[in-house]
Amino acid sequence: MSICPNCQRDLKPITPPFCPRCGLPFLCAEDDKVHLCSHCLKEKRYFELHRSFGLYEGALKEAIHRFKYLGEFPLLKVFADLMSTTFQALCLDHPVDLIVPVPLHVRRLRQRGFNQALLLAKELSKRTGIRYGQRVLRKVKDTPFQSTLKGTERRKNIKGAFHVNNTEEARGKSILLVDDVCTTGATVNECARTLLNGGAERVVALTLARVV
Amino acid sequence: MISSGQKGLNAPFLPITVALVSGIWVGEHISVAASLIALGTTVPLSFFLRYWNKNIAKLLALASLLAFGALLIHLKLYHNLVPHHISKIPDGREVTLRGTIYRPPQRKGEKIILYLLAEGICEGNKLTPSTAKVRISIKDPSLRLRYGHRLRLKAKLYRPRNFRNPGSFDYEGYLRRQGVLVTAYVRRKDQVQILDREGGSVLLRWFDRRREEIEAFLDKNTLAPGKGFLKALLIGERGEVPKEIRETFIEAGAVHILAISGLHLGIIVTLVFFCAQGLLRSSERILLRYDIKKIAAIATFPPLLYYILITGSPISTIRAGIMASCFLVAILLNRYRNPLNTLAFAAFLILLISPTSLWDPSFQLSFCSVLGIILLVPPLYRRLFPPDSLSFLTSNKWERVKRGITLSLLASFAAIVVTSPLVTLHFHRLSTMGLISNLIIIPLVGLGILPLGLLSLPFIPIFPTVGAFLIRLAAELSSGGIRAMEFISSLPFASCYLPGATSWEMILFYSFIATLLWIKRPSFRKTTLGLIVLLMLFNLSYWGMKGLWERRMRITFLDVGQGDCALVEFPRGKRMLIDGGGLYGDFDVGEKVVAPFLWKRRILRVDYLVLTHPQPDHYKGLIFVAQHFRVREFWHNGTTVSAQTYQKLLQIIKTKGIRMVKVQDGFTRSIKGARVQVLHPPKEWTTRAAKGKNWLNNNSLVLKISFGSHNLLFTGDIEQEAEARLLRAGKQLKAQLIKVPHHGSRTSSTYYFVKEVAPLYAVISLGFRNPFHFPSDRVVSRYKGLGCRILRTDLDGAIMVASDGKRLKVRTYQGL
Repeated sequence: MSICPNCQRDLKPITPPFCPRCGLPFLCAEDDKVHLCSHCLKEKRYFELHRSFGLYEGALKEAIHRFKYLGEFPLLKVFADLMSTTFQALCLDHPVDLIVPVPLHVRRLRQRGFNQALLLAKELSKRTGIRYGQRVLRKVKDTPFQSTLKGTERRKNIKGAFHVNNTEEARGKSILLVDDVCTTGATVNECARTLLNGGAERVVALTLARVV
Repeated sequence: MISSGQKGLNAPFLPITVALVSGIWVGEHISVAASLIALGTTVPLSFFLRYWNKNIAKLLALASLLAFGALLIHLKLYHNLVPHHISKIPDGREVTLRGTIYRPPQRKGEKIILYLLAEGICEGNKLTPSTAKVRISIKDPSLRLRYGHRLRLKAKLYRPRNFRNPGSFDYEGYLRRQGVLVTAYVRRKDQVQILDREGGSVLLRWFDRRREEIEAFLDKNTLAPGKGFLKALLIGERGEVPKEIRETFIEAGAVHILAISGLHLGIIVTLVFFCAQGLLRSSERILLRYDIKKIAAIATFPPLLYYILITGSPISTIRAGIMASCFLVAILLNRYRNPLNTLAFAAFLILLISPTSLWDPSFQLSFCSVLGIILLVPPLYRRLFPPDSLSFLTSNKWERVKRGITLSLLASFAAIVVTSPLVTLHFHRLSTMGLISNLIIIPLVGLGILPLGLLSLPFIPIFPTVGAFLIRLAAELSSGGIRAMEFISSLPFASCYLPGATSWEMILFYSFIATLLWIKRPSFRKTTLGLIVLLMLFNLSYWGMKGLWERRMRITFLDVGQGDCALVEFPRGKRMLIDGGGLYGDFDVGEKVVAPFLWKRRILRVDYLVLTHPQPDHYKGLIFVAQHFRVREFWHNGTTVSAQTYQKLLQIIKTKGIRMVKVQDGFTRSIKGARVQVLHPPKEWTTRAAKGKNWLNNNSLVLKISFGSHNLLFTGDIEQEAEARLLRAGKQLKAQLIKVPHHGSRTSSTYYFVKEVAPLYAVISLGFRNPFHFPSDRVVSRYKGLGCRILRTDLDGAIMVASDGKRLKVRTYQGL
């Protein structure tokens, strides 16, 4: 499956300038100076780097919805295609040896039937040959949907929601954290924190789309 | 491509299937040579033009597929018969056949219908090989015959024979499409001898024995109304669903539930698919590792196959199975995004395997309903629930239930709407209650009866008590469902009889739907819709007014087998039906022959129903007409019989408020420029105490219809006594056309009578090879000797006479 020209035009890949840490694009930046975004300045970031393919808008947003909520798996290949350049740019300077998807709580997993982040991780692993760990990280707290909450609530909501299932597997690894959508980076940050506590050496993150 | 909904989706199989369908359809009307030539030219042309112009090459490839379809149907229907084919044996010969039952026998009222793959004909100890599929009816339902039994039986062979009227069911074609060219009739049970029970395929035989066990189990554990319903649903045995219950379901618009079809397989597939998914969801490990949708799809195949085999795998179920499998495979291949393509592929596959399916109402209805659901439900659903990307997150349980119910209602609605023209075409009957009854019966069957029934089957050999409990529960639910349908069908206006839609009406109807679906520009859309509605109104008023403009008189003598039936259409749309035919046994001539003819001529109102005399071959067909058509007057001769069927006719006439008119000698009535005179019987004849052998016949009404310079004489079954009386009374008998008295019996049509009438045409209404040896050769030669042209309903089919008062035109169905 490929993308038709109409939808291709509707995609908005993230291009510089953006925050060198979390990859948040500066949409109205006048200066070319590289600086951290306000979130990264205020808060402690546990991941080393976070990059996303594009903005969570238009065609990409609809496609992710169809993938996540209607289970249209053929879209997986398209997403992996989109993510692969971002992945290469990310891993050029930060080689990783384990891909870990952001987990779903088992209740949500039952409801949906699959974990969209895991499917993305699997597909990336297949393409790059890097191992993926489906049960390294577990979600132990069944939190309400992040997308229904606001900024600070999100951080509070997600606190302590994850748990490293298998410290042996995470110990000393450079881990790539994968998710489909990132809004404020709270989930990704919490996962990175948990993984570092669990013995991982460092964590970089890759998401398909990003809300601005 | 990644975001748009239906836009940009292509269905590559759609044009291919359309080409094949058109090919099969055209194939019946063109010769083998034509289709061969077409195939021979288009295939190489499309191959070579590939390098020049891809689009033209593609079109040519489709054309070659069309030619291929035409060839396919030719090979299937008109293949060369082997020299020792049974159809070479003369019609009506009694032979001793040997063969194997290749399809589960069906009970039908007091008969068993079985299909035998004949090996040969036994003469003493010698077997003359003679292969063919033969449809055999045995007049003894107690005989226990199963799939795979090898039989020796003594049967009379008959070529299947249509009623040759406009609108009559094409029985010959129906059997021919199943490869059956010969039927046979076995009178007594002891003429059938089971040689062994090991014929046919091992697999099918194994499943048939399981069906036998299930049937015995059902007989033991369940009671009448639920039992028949369960048998129909679980093992495809429809013989025990009484005709009344079938009628009830037809009236409620839920009859499709009784014949195992795509709906049942759809229910099973959906049920197993979602249950399997639910089970798989309980394990986190499986959820993380596998795509549970695909596992569930694979898990659905065995139950699907089991159900097809346990129901005796009739062709309609196999077809539905192919369709369901196509959808499951689409899930496995991640191709489920375009169900239209999957449906087209399924149709393509089925037509390739069995091209004659195209004529099968069950095939047409299954595919049209699925097509309707695929095309109509998404836009309707979007209209009711505008797409909202967050709805997945916010929807609570109640909202989900609401949406589910709406969705199933929409699906029923779409299926009913899209199939309604076909339903009128095949069944002449439309239910207004379909939406409500389906909302009750489909969940009841899908979530209750079918799962309980199927679940009980594996318990039968292991824990019979558990199985019995489950099956009893299913039977209780079934009788509940039947009661619900009875209630719905008892509501006023639950169903109505309609003439079948003409092809013109179908085009209008479907283009209306197509316009609603696909034409988006508001101004153009409005104009098109307006135009279609206008044409529909025009069409309706054409049929409504057609009779009023008619200035001629038309008379049609119908082929009703052994019996009498003639429709007189007076000018300005007045109609008179003189007798209605009637056969011995269950076959309702009124419903199966007379009514379809009337519907074909778009007649829903018969002003005068005339019964010449109360004998079954004259009145039985009138029962259906009296019940389901608008009738003003019923003319009779005043005699009556106590037969149950005749009392039923009188009962219907009474309850429907039809005016009984006793007509006798001297009665006249002017109808729109034509004069109807009753010449016989006089009053003293009908009240005469001495009821001789031919009393009923001799009291037949004799009608003379005069129009312009033409006189037509309808004589019922009068015998020589009545003829003599007519001559004695000095009646004006001269007529251009006579309906020959008493089916051409030698006890009527005396020389002086015929000479007095001096007709140009003599119409004999009788059955082909009737047991009474009508018509008598002497009578035929008497008419011929007087220079009269003989017309016979058994040989010529329906006989259509038209008169404008000056010229008489005669056509026959066979001569068309």
